[in-house]
Amino acid sequence: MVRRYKWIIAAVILAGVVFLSYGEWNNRQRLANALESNYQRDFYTVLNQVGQLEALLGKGLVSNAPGQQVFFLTEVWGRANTAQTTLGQLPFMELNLAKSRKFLAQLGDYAYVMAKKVANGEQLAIQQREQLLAFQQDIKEYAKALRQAEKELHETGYRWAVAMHKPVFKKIGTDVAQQEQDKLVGFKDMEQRFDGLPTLIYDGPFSDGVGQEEPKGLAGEQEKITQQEAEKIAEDFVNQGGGRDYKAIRSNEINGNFPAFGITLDGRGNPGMITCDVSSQGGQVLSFLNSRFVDESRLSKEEAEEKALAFLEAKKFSGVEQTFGVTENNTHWLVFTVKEGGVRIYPDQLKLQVALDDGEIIGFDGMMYFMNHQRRELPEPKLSSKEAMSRLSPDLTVKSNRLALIPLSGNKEVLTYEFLVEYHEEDYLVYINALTGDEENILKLIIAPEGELTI
Amino acid sequence: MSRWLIAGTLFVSLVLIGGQPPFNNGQQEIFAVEMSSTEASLPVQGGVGHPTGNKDELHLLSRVVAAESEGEPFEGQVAVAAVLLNRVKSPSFPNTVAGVIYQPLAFESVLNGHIWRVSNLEAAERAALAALNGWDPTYGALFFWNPSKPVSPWIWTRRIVRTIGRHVFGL
Repeated sequence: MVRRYKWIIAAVILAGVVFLSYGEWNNRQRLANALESNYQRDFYTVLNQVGQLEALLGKGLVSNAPGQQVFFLTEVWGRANTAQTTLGQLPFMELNLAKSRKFLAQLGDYAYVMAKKVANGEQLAIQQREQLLAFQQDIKEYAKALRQAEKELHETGYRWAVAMHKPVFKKIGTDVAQQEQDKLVGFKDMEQRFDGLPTLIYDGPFSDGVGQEEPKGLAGEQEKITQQEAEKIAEDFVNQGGGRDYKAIRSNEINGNFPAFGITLDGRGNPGMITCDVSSQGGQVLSFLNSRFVDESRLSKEEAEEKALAFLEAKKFSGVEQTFGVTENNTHWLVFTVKEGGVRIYPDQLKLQVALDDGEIIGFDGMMYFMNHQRRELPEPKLSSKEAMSRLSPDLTVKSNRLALIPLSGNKEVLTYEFLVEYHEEDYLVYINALTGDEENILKLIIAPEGELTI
Repeated sequence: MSRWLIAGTLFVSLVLIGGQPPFNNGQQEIFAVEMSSTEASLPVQGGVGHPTGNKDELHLLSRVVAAESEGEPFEGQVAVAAVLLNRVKSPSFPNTVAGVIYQPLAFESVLNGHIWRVSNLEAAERAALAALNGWDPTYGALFFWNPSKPVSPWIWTRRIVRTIGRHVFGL
């Protein structure tokens, strides 16, 4: 009797478990299908955008009307962006599509730079037309490969979401995710094809070589320093008096675009550690950060600004003026910019963090300064500020103006008039080239209540 | 006999319900995925004053920093945020912070959901803020990995910039 009773309980539990498991399995399928739908849609978006790119690049080259050219090239830029971003949302495992994505990003960026050129009334050079044609040929191949891939994926019933699977038992059993990924032969072939593309240098942010520039601010420095010297330099730099005595406790080498030492300093009993990077060439402090927690604010913003300026003066950064300040997390963040002969040199910036509990400088970033600072022969403006102002839209209220050297992509710097303007209760910065009168850039100011931009 | 049957059904049901045995949430390895920002990253001339912008990027970054670099030195946390921002600026990676973070298989902490379970975001936010304001201890690195965790052998073909805490940063 008891025996049969046991069996009934077991059967009820089993039935219950099977019922619940089925429910869970069913839900898992629905989630997997929802995920799969996203991936399938993304794949078809890439395919569609790449197909459009092929046609648009062709039309851009065939067109002889600047207005049309700008339109086609701008559309190339937009669609290449969509294709690149969407491709980045598909799951690939070992197969690394970095080169495919770079190709799409550069193609779009290049088309954008060319569109700007045509819009400014210039004609495309022969090499530039050839480059666009080369892009069109490549994108044609890419579209072909993607269509072939689509055919195969369709025929094999490819499932992207399988890439998310992880083997239940690592050692035994087959890796279904990898097996499924191995079917992506078309993508692999294209990636290899992009391997052979030559480097492309042009005036856009995705040009090859961007990020590999030499630090201009260290160009004059010949002397190579030793690790011991770097430690001494870091200690001298971070110790600002006030009873803090930071000592270097370890250092390691930094192998970026230029060699440097990373020095860790301990304040013996003081909270927080400091990490300070010193360039090997010339022994300049590139940046430092203090990890310490900052207590409630006791200092005012003005006091913090004084501390920051005194710090920079002590470190021999002269001729700088504060251009930005904001308080976040009891810390005052400040930006200082070099000023030369009344011209603000925006590429040469220094950033500082002042702890508002005791006024200690807890962060310094001189990377932009050291990457860009150099002896410059600033040209004389050909336009007066009044003439430059006449280039602005008549709907704007000009609040202030000054001469400023601004960086443009392609490592260029141009002398401009910087106009702070108001349009429908919103502030913008408009940059008018002081030599040609061209409008070089517009920035919209988004300032939090606590932020302060010094114009 | 019946005891074994119940134990057996329970095991089978566990596997069915869970799909697989629960895995370690603390895993921080990244699956090596290769890596774009436009002028949006220059809110004011020269990339100044990022904190004035919207907070969405700060929120996204600090979650990943908290999940990926728990127990790492402060500089290591800034470095992780900097890598994410370097990816945004690179043509080989998606061109938004969310695109980079949610790139499939890019971060183990996204795959296992750890980024939505992190609780203490204070230090991570401070680190993310420094990175948004331009501090980059990695000098443009696009990858970071923990050598003590299983990583793709491919990752070692990258040029190593430096090591901070348990993470190696590379280009």
